[in-house]
Amino acid sequence: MLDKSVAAHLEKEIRKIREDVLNDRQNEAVDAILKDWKIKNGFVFPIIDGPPGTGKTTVGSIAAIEYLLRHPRKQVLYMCYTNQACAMAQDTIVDTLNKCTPTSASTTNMAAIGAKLTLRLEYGSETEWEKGVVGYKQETTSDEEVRRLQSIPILICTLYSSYTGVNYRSKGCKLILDEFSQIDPSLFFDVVYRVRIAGKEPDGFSLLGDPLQLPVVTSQPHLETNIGKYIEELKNITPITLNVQYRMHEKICAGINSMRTALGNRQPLVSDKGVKDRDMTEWYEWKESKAGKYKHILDPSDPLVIVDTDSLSGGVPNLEEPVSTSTKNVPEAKLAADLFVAARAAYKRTVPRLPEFQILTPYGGQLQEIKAQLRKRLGKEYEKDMCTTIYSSQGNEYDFVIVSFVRSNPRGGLGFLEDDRLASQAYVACSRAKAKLIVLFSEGTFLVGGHKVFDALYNTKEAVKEDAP
Amino acid sequence: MTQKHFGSLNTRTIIPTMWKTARRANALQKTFPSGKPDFHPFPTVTNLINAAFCPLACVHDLLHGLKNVAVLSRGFGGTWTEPVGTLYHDFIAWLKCSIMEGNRPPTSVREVNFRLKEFAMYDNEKKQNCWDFYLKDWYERKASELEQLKKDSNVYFEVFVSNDGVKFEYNGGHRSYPLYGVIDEIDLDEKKIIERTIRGERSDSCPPRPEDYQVWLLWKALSSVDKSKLPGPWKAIDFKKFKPIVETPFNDFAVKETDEFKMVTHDAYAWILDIYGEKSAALVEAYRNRYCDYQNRNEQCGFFPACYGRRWKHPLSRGAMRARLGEFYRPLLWEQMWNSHRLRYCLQEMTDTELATEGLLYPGSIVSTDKNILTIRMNADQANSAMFRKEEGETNTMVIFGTTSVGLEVDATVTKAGRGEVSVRIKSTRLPHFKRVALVFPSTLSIVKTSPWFLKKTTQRNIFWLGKIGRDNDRKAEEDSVVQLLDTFFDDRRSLEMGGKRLVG
Repeated sequence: MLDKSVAAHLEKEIRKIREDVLNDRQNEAVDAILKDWKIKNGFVFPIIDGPPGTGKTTVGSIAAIEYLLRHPRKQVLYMCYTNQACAMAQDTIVDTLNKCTPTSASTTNMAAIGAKLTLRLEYGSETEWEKGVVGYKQETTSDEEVRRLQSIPILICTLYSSYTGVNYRSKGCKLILDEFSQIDPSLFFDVVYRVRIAGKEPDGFSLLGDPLQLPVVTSQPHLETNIGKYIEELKNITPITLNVQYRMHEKICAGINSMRTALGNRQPLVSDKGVKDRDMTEWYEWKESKAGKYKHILDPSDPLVIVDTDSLSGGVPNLEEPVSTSTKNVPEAKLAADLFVAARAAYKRTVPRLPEFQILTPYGGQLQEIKAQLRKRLGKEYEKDMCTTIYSSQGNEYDFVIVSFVRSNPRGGLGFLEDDRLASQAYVACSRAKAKLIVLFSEGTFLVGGHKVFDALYNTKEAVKEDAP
Repeated sequence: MTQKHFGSLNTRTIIPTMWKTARRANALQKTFPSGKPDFHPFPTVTNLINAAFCPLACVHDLLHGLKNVAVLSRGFGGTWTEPVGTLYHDFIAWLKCSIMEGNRPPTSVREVNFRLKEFAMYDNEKKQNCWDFYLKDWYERKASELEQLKKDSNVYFEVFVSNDGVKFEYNGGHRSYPLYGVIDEIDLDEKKIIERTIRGERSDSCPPRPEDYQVWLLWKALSSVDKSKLPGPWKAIDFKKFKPIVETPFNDFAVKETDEFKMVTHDAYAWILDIYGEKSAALVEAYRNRYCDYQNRNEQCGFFPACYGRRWKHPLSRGAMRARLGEFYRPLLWEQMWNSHRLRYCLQEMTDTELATEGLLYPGSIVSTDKNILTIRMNADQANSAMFRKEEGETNTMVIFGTTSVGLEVDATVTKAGRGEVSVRIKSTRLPHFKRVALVFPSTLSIVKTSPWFLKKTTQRNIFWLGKIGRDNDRKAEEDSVVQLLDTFFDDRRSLEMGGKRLVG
C-alpha cells in the first residue's frame, strides 16, 4: 500500500495526466471503469474498443491506479491472454507512473513506486522479484510469495491463472481483461467461475481490446466470436470506442484505415497532431549513402512502402516452399534481412534510446529463415528479438517495421491469411510501425483473387510502390 | 465387497461400431482444423471406464470435462483436491525406484513412515490419511517383496501404451478401436501389469471395480501392440503372457478376461461415438439409460455432485443460461480432438521418418546423463529447429523413451540446443535403459498457436459448474455479484451499461 503523501502526490499527477494527456474518449473510458458497477436492475460493464495506438492499455493503467487511489484497501486484477501480453501490460503501467513527476527528486522514484504497485503471476516460472514476477505452482508457493501476492495492489496474470490471482486478493477486486479479441465466451465464463469459487466478490469487470486485432484462435466456428462481440449482441449495447491514435505517421495510419474499412469497421482513426508528421528523422539521422541500392525503399520521407517481391523471380510468383508444417520464402527472407541491415546502417541514432527495428512475419518457417539470414549478416550483433511472428507482436510498437508476408505462388493462394479473421494478422503487423513501414509481398499472389485486406492496403494512395531491387 | 455391475450393460442392444481413425491427410496435419473432426475420438482408458460405468458419466467426461467416475471427489466439483490415491501410488513408485537405484530397503514400518514424511513435504492431513488407512497395510504385506528388488530389476512406472487398433472379439470375429492408457507399474521380471488403487477392503474376495476392467483394458492394449512398434529391448517380450493384477493395500488380485469385459467395451465405444457427435438424441438416450436415479442414487460415484447437485432458486435465468453455456461443450471437445487426438493418431499412423520430416518428432539417442539432464544427439537440422523453438520461448517438451506406441513419456524442459545436440532437464524418475528416445513438442511450428488442449477440458468443467451455482435466499442472491451478473447476461429484462456518457459518432 502507498503511504499517504505519495498517494496524495500521485493523485494530483494522475489528475494532471487525465487533463493534459488523455482525450475525451479516453477519459470517458477511465470513468466507466471506475464507476460503481452495481446499478439498478443491471451492471456497468465497460467494453472499450481501442484500435492500435489509441492507448487502451494506458486507459487500463490509469483506471487501475486511480481505482487504487480511491480505494486504498482494494486491489486490481489485470488479465491478459498470454504471459507476453501480461509482461507488456506491466511495462505500460510502470511507464504510466514514469510519466508522473517524482514527489521529490531525491526521495521517491516513480519507477520504484511502479515496482511496488505491480506484480506478475506466471504459472510454472521461477520467481524473479527484480523483474516483478512471481512464479507459482499449486503446492510450492512460499510464504513470502503468498504474502506479496496478498498485498500487491495490481496483480497481472493470464485468464487461466485467474483463480490463483483472485484467491490471493484480501477482498473483492476490480477485474480488467485486456485484448478481449482473443477471448472467447467460454473462456470468459470459465474466468467468472474461477472468480466465484475463489469466494471473493468482484468489484467490476471491464473489457479492453480491438475486435479487429488477433482473433480467438479456434477450430470451432461457434467459439470464434470474442467476448466483447458476444456481449454486445447478447445485450444489444455499443462499446466505447477510442479513435485518436498516438503511434503512427499519418501515411501509415491511412493504410491502417483502409484495412479497417476492408475488415468491416467504417470508423477511421484520427492521427494525433503529435504523431501525424513524425518520421524516422525524429530519432535518427538519415545517411542515404549507407542505404546503398535500398535508398528509395528506406527513404524516411516515404513512411509506407510496398515492395513487390515478384521481381526477385523474374516477375513470376513462385518463391514459396513448404517447411515442416509451415511455409518459407528464402529470397524474400534474404531481402528482409538485407533491408534490415541496410536500415540499421543508414539510420544513426540521435537520441539516447534503444533503436527499434523489427521484422515481422506470419509464418514460423519464415521466421526461422529470416533469423538464419540475420545471423549470417550480423554475426555477434545478432539478437533473437530482431524478428518475431506477428502473433507475438500484438501490443508492441516499433520505429521501423518490415513485414514479410511470404506467400508467392501463381494460383494466388494465401493459406490461412485467406481466412477473413486471420487476415487481421496483416492489420496487426502493419499497425506496429510508428515511423516507417515496409511491406514485402508478391503482387502476383496477393492482388489476385480479391483478398480485400491486401487490396485495401495496396490501394492506399499514400503508399509508395517499389520493385524489389 | 461384491462387484458392481457395469451400468451400461443393462441398457441397450450392443451393436459394435466401425471406428474412423484420422485420415492420413489429417494425421499429417495437412487439413486445416475446422468444425467437427472427420475422425472419431482416440479414447483413453478413463473415457472407456466412464462410458462403461454409466452413459451419463460419459457425457460428464467428454462434454463437461469432469474427471474419473472412480475418483471420489471432495469439495464442490472436486477440482482442487488431489486424491490420497495419487500420493499413495507416487510414494510406492518412488520407494521402489530408490531401492532399485541402490538405496537399502526400509527395515521397519517406522522407517517407511519417516520416508513418506520426507517424500511429501506438504499437506499433513493427506499424508496422515495415506499412512493410517493404506500405506501401513501395504508395507506390511510387501516388505519381503521390497527386499528382493535389485539394481537391475526391470520394474517401470507410468508406462504409456497407445494403440490405434486394439482388437476386441465379437461374434467370432473382432472390431478394432484406438485406445490410450497409462500402466501404473509393469514388472518385466515377474511378468505383471499392476493397477494400484486405494479402493477395496481387507475382506475382499474379488478386485474392486472398475480397476479390474481398467487393468484388463491396459493389458489388452499392450498385448495387441504390433511387435514392430515395441521398443527394441522389449521386442522379444510376449505381453500376452503377462498377468493383469489389481493391487489394493490389502490384497493382490489377478484379473481374468471375461465376456462381460468384451461386451461392455463395444458398448462403451458406441456411447463415446454417440456423445462426441452432433445428435442431440444421444444426450437424451444417455440420460434415459443412466446407471442410477434419485431414488437409487450411487453416492460413491465420482460424478454424484454433477448428477444430484442442489437446485438453487437463483439465478432466475438458469434455463437460458444453461442453454447458452451448453452450446460450448461440444465445440470444446472437438477442439481437444483436433489438438490432442489427432496428434495421437499421427504418432500411430506415421513412421518416425515421416514424423521427423513433419517436425512432429525429434528422434535421437542419449549420449550422456548427468543427474536429471539428458543430452540427446540428433540430426543437425532438428537440433537447430529445437534451438529455434527454444529461442521462441517454447522450452516445454516431452521425451518419449521407447516408441510412440509403448514407453515412458517424461515432461522435460529444453536447456540447450544446437550443433546436433539437445539437452533437456527431466523430472527424476526410473528410466528404462533405452538409448533411442524422441522429443515431441506440444505445438507445431504453425503460427496459429493453440492453447494446451487440457485447458479446454478445464473450461468445459468450469462452465458446467458455473451452470450449477446459485442461492436460495433472495437477500443473499441480491448480494451475490456473480449470480446477479449471470442474471443480467441471460435475462432480457436486465441491462448492461457502458458506464461513460454515450458519445455520438
